[in-house]
Amino acid sequence: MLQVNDLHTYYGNIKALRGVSFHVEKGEILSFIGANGAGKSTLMNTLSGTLKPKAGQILFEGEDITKLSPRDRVKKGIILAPEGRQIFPKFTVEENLLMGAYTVNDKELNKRNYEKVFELFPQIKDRQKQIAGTLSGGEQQMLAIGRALMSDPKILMLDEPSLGLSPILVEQIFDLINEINNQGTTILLVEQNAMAALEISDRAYALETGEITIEGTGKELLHNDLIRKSYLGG
Amino acid sequence: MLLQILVNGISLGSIYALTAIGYSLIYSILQLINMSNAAVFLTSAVIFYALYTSLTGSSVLLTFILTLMAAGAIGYVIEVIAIRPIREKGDSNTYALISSIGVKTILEQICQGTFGSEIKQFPTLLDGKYIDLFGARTSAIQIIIILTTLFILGFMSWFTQNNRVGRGLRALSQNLNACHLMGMPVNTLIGVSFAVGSMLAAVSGVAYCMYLKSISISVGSAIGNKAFAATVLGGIGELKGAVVGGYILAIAESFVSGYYSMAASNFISFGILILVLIIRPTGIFGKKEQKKV
Ligand SMILES: Nc1ncnc2c1ncn2[C@@H]1O[C@H](COP(=O)(O)OP(=O)(O)OP(=O)(O)O)[C@@H](O)[C@H]1O
Ligand SMILES: [Mg+2]
Repeated sequence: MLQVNDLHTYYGNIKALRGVSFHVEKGEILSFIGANGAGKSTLMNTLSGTLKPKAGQILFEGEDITKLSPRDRVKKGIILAPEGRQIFPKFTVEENLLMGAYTVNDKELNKRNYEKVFELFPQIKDRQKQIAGTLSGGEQQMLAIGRALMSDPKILMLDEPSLGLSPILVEQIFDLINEINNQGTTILLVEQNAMAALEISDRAYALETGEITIEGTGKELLHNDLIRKSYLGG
Repeated sequence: MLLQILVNGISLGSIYALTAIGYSLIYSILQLINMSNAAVFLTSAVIFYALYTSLTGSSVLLTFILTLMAAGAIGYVIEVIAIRPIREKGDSNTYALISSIGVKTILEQICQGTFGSEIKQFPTLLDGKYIDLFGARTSAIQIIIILTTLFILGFMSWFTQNNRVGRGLRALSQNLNACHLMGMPVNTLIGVSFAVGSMLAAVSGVAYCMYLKSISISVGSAIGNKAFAATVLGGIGELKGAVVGGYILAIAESFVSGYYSMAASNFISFGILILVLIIRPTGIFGKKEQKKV
């Protein structure tokens, strides 16, 4: 579904991605794990189109999308719920969701997705008129994911959805990611919380200073010695 | 006397408020002080004058509509030509500011070249008609200006709350990156914000010249500077701040010129501007700038 070849992304002279190649299969949950500064967010932003790679190629359903704008990528079905949520703090929950649907012109589809979001996240259903900046961290994360779902994506990219959440909420968020995947959306997940991510992942990659060092199924990586040492605390 | 001063202040405040919204809207999105706004104020008045005297003299309304369309187009084109290339290269806002000063100079030069530097008579509405408002002698054009402004403010409120594009503009001012990520047409929307700001400046420019019944080349910078002072007073980046700032400033000026002297009233705006910058740089409605990560 998504094929990435030898991706290089720079910030000025700093190399943040040094030749990353991988693929995402339709229907799977794929995750990237890695420490602070490994380049996970850089990868997500390059895939969403807000960062331009210096070299490399991104193919989506066989088509080269490397040069497409973020907007065209969203229209094709790739969307990112970014690190730190980046919801619109002064908007209500409802207005935030409407912004997620900016590329969708089909009113019926919008209505269906809107209801679907509240089925997934009943906690924010009663809060449609609440200003998003006043939501709790967990609710904001749900809103950020819900907003992304409003674009009716084929691939949902999630950058550290568990960041700053209590253990119970982390578990809840991962259950919901699983649920979204079961409903047919392919998931590309980035996490520092390697344990939780690997448990729900079909496959995973470890990213280290801009390079992929290990790859395998979620199970394999959970039992990989190197991974256990570096990311799972022994 | 008191009421008279108030009415004068409110009609002048309407003119400041409309132009001030343009400064504030663009600042809220790009953190850019768009200096070309004042020149659009002038250019629109000149366009109105040129159209009225050469083509459409029979209809003020038609002239007004054509002027608004021209102003919108000018605003959009300014963004595309002078601001967008700088934005997309990721260069500092200082360059965009300088670029907007360049646009201001060019527009003023064009106006001067085509219009000349003398004062000319400007068409107005219901000339010589006055209404007695609880003892305040109010000219018909003042009433028209106040009512038109109220209508536009109402429309802007609806537009930014309930219209998809208007809501998009508010989203841009909260998180530009998130707008890109949601697949919003960010460039088009920024262009629209310039078009909207320019159309408001056009209403303001035409209204002001109708009020004066004359037009001269210096009219843009005079009002532009005061509208900018009003924007800062209200809290730059806050649309309601621009409106409130505009009215406060104009009413204050009106009082000073009524009880003291016209000349002194010109110091008021800039006196208030400097005071605000010292005491409360964020203005009435502005909140402390939060560093965006
Ligand atoms: N805007 C930027 N300018 C310069 N360097 C940057 C910028 N953003 C990231 N970097 C650098 O690029 C590298 C990768 O950063 P990135 O944010 O992709 O890491 P990450 O894996 O997402 O980390 P984290 O887990 O902390 O979110 C880091 O060395 C970082 O310092
Ligand atoms: Mg990151």
